[in-house]
Amino acid sequence: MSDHEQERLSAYLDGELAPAETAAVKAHVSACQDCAARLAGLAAVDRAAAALPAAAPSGYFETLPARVRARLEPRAPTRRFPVWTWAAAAALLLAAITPLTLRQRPDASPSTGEIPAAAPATLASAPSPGEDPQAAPAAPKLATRAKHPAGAVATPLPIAANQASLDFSTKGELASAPPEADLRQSAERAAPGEARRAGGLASPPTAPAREALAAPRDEGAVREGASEAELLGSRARGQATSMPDRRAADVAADSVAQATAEDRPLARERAVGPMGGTISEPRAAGPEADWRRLSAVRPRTPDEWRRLREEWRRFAEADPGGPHVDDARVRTIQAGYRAWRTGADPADEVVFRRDASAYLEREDAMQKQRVRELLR
Amino acid sequence: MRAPLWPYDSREVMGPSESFLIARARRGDPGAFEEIVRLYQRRVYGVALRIVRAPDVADDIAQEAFLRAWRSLDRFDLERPFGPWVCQIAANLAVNHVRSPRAREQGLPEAHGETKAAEPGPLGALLDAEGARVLEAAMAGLPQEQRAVLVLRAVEEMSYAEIAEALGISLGTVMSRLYRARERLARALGPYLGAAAQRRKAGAS
Repeated sequence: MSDHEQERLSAYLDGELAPAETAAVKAHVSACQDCAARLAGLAAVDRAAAALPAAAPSGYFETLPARVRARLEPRAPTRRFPVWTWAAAAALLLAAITPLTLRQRPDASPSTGEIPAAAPATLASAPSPGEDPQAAPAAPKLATRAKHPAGAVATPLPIAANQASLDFSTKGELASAPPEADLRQSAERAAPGEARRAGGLASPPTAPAREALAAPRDEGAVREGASEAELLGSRARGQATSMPDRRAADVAADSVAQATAEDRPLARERAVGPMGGTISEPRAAGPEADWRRLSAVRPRTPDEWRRLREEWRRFAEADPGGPHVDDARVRTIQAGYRAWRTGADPADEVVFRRDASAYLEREDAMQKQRVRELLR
Repeated sequence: MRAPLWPYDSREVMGPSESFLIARARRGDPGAFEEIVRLYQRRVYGVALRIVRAPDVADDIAQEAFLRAWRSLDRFDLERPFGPWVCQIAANLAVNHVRSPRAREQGLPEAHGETKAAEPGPLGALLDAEGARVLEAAMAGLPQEQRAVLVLRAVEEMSYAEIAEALGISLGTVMSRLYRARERLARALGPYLGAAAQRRKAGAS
């Protein structure tokens, strides 16, 4: 057998031949014992090579993430900010510059007089970053100012960020931090932001950019303790249940149920919207309570999975504008997937596939990749 | 005491929060990226170690691979799984490292022979202790380019196209290197694989 033919055998093993070649090799292998044995040998080599242990020094994986993190440079904020960010920056710049120009030209037309009204207010309310306790009221102040049209033009971003954090504290549902700490977080977030705006006249366009970065960062810090515990917990669970022959999608569906808390901040960001323009009243406890209750359900039987699927469906339909609707849709699909996998009922498969394809067609779907993994 | 790399923890297969974490990391959140590192470190380090065969070098490469991923996150397609991508980066770094003169000076490090016999892993089902030693030696003896292709295929189960992309070589080269690596290992392992198969048969009947 020539090298070329053996090479084809190796590629056949990987399913990397063209259909015609695949058919030819398949036919040959079924007739030729020698080649069948060779093929089996090559496959065994792969299995053995994959099974060869590769060990790290003890404790290595406990320290690597932090060591990598310590070496991360700040990411250059290019290209990541949509057009509206720059529009907001321009508005801020305008608000900051206009009073200066007005001072030079006292006869400015009254039509521009409205915008500077917001700018001095912004500057006046800027506390120094050091004074935490006094800074605490800053967040509510910002929120109320949002109703003022001029204020809304001048500071859309900080309001979005602070609104998000206020939202947490009024609901009191941030698992990893008590409400006071949360409020302080938002105040701290507000304080440097304000200070930056006050001192940032030289380079105003970058101030809102940093602001946009600041909010998710802080949230991440608050969350870290909790999410780490969750990750550890689910890792342990994943290991306990992971069998060599389990499909990745099964594992994924399992662990998705555990990912609730990690998803929440994102859901909130969505609820507020990028502009934070519409300020909603704190939501009634109903949907939030349902959300927490459903998230905590851990079904065992196909029937329980079916019930959970329908509960999530009702949840998503009942509150289509709510912060958790995207997750609820995904959970509907995941519960449907689990119902099908645990019960092997073709009817469940039909429902799962129908739900999944309906989701994939949605323009506002945020987790298509996850759903596609389940379909695989 | 060494931390075993296998089995990978299940979250590395497809972390449900993966795209969420990546989205945050893209916005510059180092905490989110640290979580990503936690999820993929075993895979990345494993790829590097299997190619370069020296823990300290593998450590360098794993860190560098994550740092490059961090820098390139903007270009990363969120629809793709993160694992293969960062493993591709690591494999590329590993091959280029092994090619460098410094790596040649260092020669081949001590094999992890001492841990194998004690570890009843998946390898135990395929090879006895002697066979495992032979496999280890045969792997070490492969040209690094062949070893890299074999690792990406057998361990990471990448497609030829992904391997070609990772190592900057053609599909034809992937195919021939992979074949040569397998052929060489098959020749070295032939007697041992047969023996294990016979033992299994004997055990089954």
